[in-house]
Amino acid sequence: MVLKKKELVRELKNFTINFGPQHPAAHGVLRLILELDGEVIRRADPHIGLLHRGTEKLIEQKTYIQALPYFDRLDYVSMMAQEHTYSLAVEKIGQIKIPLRAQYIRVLFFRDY
Amino acid sequence: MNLFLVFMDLVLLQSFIPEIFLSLCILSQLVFNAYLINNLNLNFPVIDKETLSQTFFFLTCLFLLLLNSKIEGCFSNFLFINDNGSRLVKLLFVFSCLSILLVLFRSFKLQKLNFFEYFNLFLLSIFSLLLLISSSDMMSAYLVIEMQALAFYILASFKRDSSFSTESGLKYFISGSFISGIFLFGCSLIYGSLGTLNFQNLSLLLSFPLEQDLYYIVLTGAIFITITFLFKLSAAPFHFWSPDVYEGAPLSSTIVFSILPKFALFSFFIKWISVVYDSFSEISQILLLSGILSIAIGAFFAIRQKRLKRLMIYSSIAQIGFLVSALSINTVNSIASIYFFLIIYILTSILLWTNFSIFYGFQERTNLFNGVNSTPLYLSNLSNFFKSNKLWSFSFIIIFFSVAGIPPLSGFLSKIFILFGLIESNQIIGSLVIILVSAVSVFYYLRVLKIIFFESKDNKLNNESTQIVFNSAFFDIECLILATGLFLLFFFFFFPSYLLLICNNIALGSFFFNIVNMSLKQIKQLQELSSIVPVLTYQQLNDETILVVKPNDLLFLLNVLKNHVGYQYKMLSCVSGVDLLSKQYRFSVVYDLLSLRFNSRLRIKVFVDEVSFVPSCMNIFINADWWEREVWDMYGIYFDKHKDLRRILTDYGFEGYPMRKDFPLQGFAELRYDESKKRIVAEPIELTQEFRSFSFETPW
Repeated sequence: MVLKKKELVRELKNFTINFGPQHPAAHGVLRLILELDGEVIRRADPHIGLLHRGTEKLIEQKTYIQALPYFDRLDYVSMMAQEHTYSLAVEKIGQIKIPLRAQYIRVLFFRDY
Repeated sequence: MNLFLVFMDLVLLQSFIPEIFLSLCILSQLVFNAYLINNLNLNFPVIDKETLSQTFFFLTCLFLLLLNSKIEGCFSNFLFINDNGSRLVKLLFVFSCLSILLVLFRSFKLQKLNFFEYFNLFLLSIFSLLLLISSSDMMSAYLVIEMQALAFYILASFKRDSSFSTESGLKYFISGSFISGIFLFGCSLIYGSLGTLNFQNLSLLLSFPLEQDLYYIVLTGAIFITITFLFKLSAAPFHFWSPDVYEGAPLSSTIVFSILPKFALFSFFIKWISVVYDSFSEISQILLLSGILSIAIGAFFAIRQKRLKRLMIYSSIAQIGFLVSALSINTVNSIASIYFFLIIYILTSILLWTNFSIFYGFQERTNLFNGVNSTPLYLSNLSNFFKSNKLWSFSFIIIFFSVAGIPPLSGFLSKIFILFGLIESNQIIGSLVIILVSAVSVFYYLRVLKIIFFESKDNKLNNESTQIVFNSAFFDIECLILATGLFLLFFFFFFPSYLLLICNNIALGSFFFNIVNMSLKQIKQLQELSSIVPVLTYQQLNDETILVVKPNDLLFLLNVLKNHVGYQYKMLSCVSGVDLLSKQYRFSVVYDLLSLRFNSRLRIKVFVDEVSFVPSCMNIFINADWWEREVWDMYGIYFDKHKDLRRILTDYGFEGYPMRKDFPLQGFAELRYDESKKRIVAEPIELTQEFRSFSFETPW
């Protein structure tokens, strides 16, 4: 039997994959549904996750110091960095000078946790 | 570790590949040609044409190398810095060198010079000027300027058998070494009081106010150095050397002196001025005075001149006066206008000298006078030249009209830009004087034209010989240059925007080292901005600048800030909403911009009420898409013409705008999983406990 040339032509179809989340525990993070043509992404449907937990709304009801712990929760991999940035912003708005010793301690924590 | 450092140096050296290439070329050309002319087997050949083509080839390669090297880099501890601005200046410079070289050859032949070393020295001075363009330290600049001057001394006295030439070389040498002394004295004063000669460090140190006694020492040093540059550029009252030197030197050397060093000296001078400008107001006054004085001296002394070369030199002093007076206001716009003027100036002087060397050729062939170099050329030689050569005379009119600044030519535009800059910075009297004096200068330009066209003298030109000249001269490479240049003179008048774009880029590039002072400069520039865009108010909060505009003007402002070369806020880092419940305009939308080029941030605010809307800027900044969706989701501020304004952070079917001040903290709905319905249901909220507000002071 002779194979016809038409039958040899393969039909190409785009491939749809789920990209992320990388770990079941890492909830509320970016998930992409990608449509691939070989290795080229033709379409991406990003689900950015319901990450909004009303932090700003909660802080509206609180003093500056009471607001501090909320920033831990923004990113549990680098809590101190989040708190650090918040404190810097508050100091800049209120034009507060903090002691040198406190700055050193803060940088140490910011770096290592 | 050391190897790593060496490797880093090599990476930084990459941007200096064109200069390294040129230095190798110079050495190999010298050795090769010295071998060739002493070769007995080849019968001691004359190789001037070959040297010309070698030099042309080297310069073309250099141009292509510069065109390709897009890396910014520095060399040996910031002695030399290659940034984008200096690369553009170098490109223009090398291009002008190529055209000078073509003009040079004819005048070189006319003087019966046939030494290949001439072109070697020409390349050497190009090499040193290239380094001067990128140097950003007093010491490196001094060495490079000396190297260039040494080459020029030899070029001035190149015709050894002429006493004129030797005299001019000696004069150049003596005045040059005198001014080097002054330069070094200025450097030592600055080094003694501040301990550095590097431009980056100097601009850092000078951004703080100096102590009283230190201030005057540094000021004296700065004035000495400024004077050196005025001297090198032959601006009045330091111009006395230039007419003598230029007059005596061979024609080809005069061409080199009057065109070659201007680009490089000015680009370094601008760097130096922007280092000292903000700390010493005296410098700008000196520059303005010297500029006006040069224009006046150029105009009034040129009237009395009878020799052609001297006339040209005084006219070029007047041109330099324009440049120096524009330097007295140190803004991006004025520096761009300086470069515009420089480009047009170089173009017209190349054309003028091309025309002259053609004229010299005529004179020699018609045997009007013997020995081109031994007797100077007088204005009366030009009389009634129109009869002998019409094309030459018409091209001469066009060039002279451009130099005088008569409208349909680009010389007019370059002068008007500088005058506008002066008027904008309230130098009304100065600009008035400049306008009046340049009206005087039109007189002598017209006088030369009158001599060419109408003045009849006993005409020794016989028609036969001019006919020969006509044929041979007008199919040369010079005529190609002349035609292209004349075309460009018209072209840049009608389409100056291409050139202005390049000039703006150069001007911004020369602020590269001065990033420290950028916040101050930024405020100055933002005030310039208000002339283009209607800005309601400026606010300055903790060194952060905030602009408030109406929503209708927002898109225009953002577009200007993103795309204008003076701002380049290419990044929109955040769009956020604010709810100011009790105000007349309830909401405000805040845009945070970042300019990576100038390391500066800017905040823009618009105010809207509940029924009006903000135009969407997603066509300008593509990332505004999501930012605006978020603001819409949280505050309910409507963005007009947004392509896809859906909620982005809240759940499907969510109602209300959670970040508004009148939205309760606990919300309205509660979600739970209903076992009987087997799905998630939303119900009105029921609190089992009263809402507690912890509004006391800190617990300790």
